[in-house]
Amino acid sequence: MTPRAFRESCAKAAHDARLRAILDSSTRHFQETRSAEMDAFADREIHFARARAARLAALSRLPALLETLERNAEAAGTKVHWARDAAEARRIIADIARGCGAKVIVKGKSMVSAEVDLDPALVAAGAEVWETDLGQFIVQLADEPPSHIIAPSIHKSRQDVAALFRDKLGLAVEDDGEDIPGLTMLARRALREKFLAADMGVTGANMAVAETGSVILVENEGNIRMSTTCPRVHVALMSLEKVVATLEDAASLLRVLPRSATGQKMASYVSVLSGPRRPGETDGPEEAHLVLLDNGRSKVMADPVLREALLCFRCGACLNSCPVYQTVGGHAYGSAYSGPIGALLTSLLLPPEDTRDIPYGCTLCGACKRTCPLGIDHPRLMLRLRERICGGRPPLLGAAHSFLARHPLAYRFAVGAARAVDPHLDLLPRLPGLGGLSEFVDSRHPPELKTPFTKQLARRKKSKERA
Amino acid sequence: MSRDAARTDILFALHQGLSDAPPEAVAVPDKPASIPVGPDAWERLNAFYESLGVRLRLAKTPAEAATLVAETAREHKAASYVRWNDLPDGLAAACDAALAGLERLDAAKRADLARADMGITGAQAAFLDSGSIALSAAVDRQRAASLLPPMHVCLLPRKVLLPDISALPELLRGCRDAKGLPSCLNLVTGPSSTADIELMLVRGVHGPGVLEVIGLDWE
Amino acid sequence: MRVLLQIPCLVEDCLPEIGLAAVAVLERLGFDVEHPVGQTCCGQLAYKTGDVSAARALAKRMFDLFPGPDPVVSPSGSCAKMLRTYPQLFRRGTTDYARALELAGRTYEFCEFLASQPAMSRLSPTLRTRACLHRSCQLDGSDAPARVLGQVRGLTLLDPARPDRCCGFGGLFSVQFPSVSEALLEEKVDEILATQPDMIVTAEPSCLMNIGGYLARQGGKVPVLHAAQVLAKALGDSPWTA
Repeated sequence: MTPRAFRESCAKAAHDARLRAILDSSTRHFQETRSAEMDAFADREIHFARARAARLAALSRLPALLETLERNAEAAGTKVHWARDAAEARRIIADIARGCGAKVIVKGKSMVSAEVDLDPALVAAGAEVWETDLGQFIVQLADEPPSHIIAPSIHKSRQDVAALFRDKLGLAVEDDGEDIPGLTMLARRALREKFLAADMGVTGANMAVAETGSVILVENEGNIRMSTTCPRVHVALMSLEKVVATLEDAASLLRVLPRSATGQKMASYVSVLSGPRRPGETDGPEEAHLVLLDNGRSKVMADPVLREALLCFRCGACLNSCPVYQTVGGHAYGSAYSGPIGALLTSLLLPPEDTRDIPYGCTLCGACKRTCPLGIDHPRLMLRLRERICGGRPPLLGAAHSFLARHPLAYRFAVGAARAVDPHLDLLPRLPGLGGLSEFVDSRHPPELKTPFTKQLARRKKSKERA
Repeated sequence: MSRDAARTDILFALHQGLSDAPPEAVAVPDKPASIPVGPDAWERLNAFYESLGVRLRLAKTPAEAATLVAETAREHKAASYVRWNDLPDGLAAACDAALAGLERLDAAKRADLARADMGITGAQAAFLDSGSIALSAAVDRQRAASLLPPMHVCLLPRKVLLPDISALPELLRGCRDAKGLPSCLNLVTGPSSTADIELMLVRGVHGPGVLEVIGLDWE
Repeated sequence: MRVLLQIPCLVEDCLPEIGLAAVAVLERLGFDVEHPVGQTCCGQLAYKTGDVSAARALAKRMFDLFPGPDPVVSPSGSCAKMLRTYPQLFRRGTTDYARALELAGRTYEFCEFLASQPAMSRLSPTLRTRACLHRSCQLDGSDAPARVLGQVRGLTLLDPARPDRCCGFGGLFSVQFPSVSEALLEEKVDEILATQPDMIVTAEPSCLMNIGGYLARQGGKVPVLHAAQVLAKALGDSPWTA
């Protein structure tokens, strides 16, 4: 999985009628549900502003807050670890797994664990690893990456799922998967076994509260509660920008996050975890760990414009609003993160040579920015990334155009020559080396080069003067 | 030591980035006023519960509450249950009496929780703007009692009803003791659900598929 | 009152009729329209490619071409937006920044400018037609085109099913991601044609070229016009196409 192939993947996806039909219906569904709830959300702009302020305040004091978080988490009995990069995160968590002799590990949906490619390291440490969010479970069986932040298996039909359960789990599936609740119950039973047998649960974290050292997890299924209640050991892997200062800040975010993600006033379950089980308690982990992941984020913090991408609390609304995502889906990005915010994060966290095309896969329409409850200005960040990629060395055609534009006589001469030679633009766009310009004129009749406006205006003025 | 090196590197890089380009100050708008808890509190709660597929019934006395619990068990053909010891107003004993025909299992034992048909808990709070019920873990308040059994019956006292989630910080701080915050606070808003297969809503995927709330409508 | 007319590069050489219609409408409203000579490009192509220094150079040309205090009016939402973005290209406290801010403060997209002019409705523009409006994303959600066209008597303004959705052009995007661009364009055109319009109207020349070019390839007969052209016709001016 790599973002290097982004342009080809986009072209392929655009021609995949089945994928496009699924993307169309699912993104519309998410948008409609969300918009109905947002219309009913009293004082929504104030709540959005408070949520944004909480995130901004956290970023502006990030190092101090992380130290406070560490202190309070450890006071509550949580062991805090710091991972500079993906390899370090994998090593830390694999060591924890080996240290507790974990044979069965259950996982809650965690994009950051996909970002660091955690699962193979846990398998290498000698454990069976089970994704337990139903959508993640399905794509794990299919050996595919998730295709959407909120609904990872949205690209799979019920028949696809039935086939997976049959072929990969050996389950008896009736009716070729027609009965979706039935399929879901099969998954519940299969995963219930794993929860009860699991030695360790690994989750992400929606946020962490510095004031109390707590980790907060939001879900609808209950698999995160299961993963943090049944096994002896719990590991929360969190990208370090997700800390907030106070419980008030956390409440501000919780007011907005479920509404923006799925159009719910509140998700089915929110867990506020502050350390392992207390003496005398009979459920909950005996050992709690929090792994703070950097993996390029501290570098992003140094850019005052680009650091806005770190405000994101992963609601997924920008994905559903993006015309490009609506057409190509999540896999095309070749990264744990897709859609507008995914394009930004992928470009910021991965090596530049792998992500050169990503910021250009955007029409700058601004639908993402208008939808984002935290006010992230995705188009502005996209342009800043383009500036970095361009690096003062613009592509040849662009440089030629800019040169001409700075020299009006040369510009007029060039246009005049083109108009003399090829006024209907039949030939010029099809010259070699002009990339997709040829495809452009395949699907669109090119504009004509006409008598320039300036000349026509002058003629009009003259004839008016004569009249 | 590697851990200290990673910690130092990360904190240093963050300090560096922020001091090179300090962020601007942010104005925080005031929190909008909460709609206070009024005489229509139960109606407000019920408005959410209908769309979430949760049934809310009110009891005027502990005896009535226990009767409703027994009715629920009968309707769902429950043969066994677990319950918190920490239930208000003598309801632990009252429920045991009303559920005499069922097998009472031990909420402290994983195997029992896993086979119980019904889990009975109290509640530390409920937020009226979303229908969320807060359950904080403690020695006599097992997390898994509201998670493992397929049906969760929640005994919700009127006096713990709160306006909205902005009350969460105070609630948590109120739960604090010498050792700190509770190890776990769960907000439960409806049954477990998913729509991961073709966006079709299914209830009861990992957590309980049925949530029954019995409002304890007395002082 | 005098206004300075900014003419997008696309309009100058490929869609001059839009410029002429804009002049006709502004003059009918009583404005003295000056068109500074020597305009080439507002710099948005360089800027969106990431060549910020070229964009800066082009911005500085524009400061000289459009001295204050007269308002600058552009029949392109994207050019107007670029002019209003000029301040972001320069460091605060510099002369260039001050000039950029000053220019941005008096730059208007054509419909935005007209929407603030009471003279329009007094002239009773009239045109019996069903016009489907393409609300270009480059206008950042401004409803000025709808408000202005709403003043035309006899004109039924239609919206496609998803009025705010991008037509897929995105400048460089259409050339670097042609399949996605075409997929979006196809969906936009389907939604527009489903409203059964007599004409398609927009306030953004690049969207006009995109949608019009596609329809021409498809053998479509529905004309695609700029709001200025529709208003010129409604105000009784001819010719409204060159």
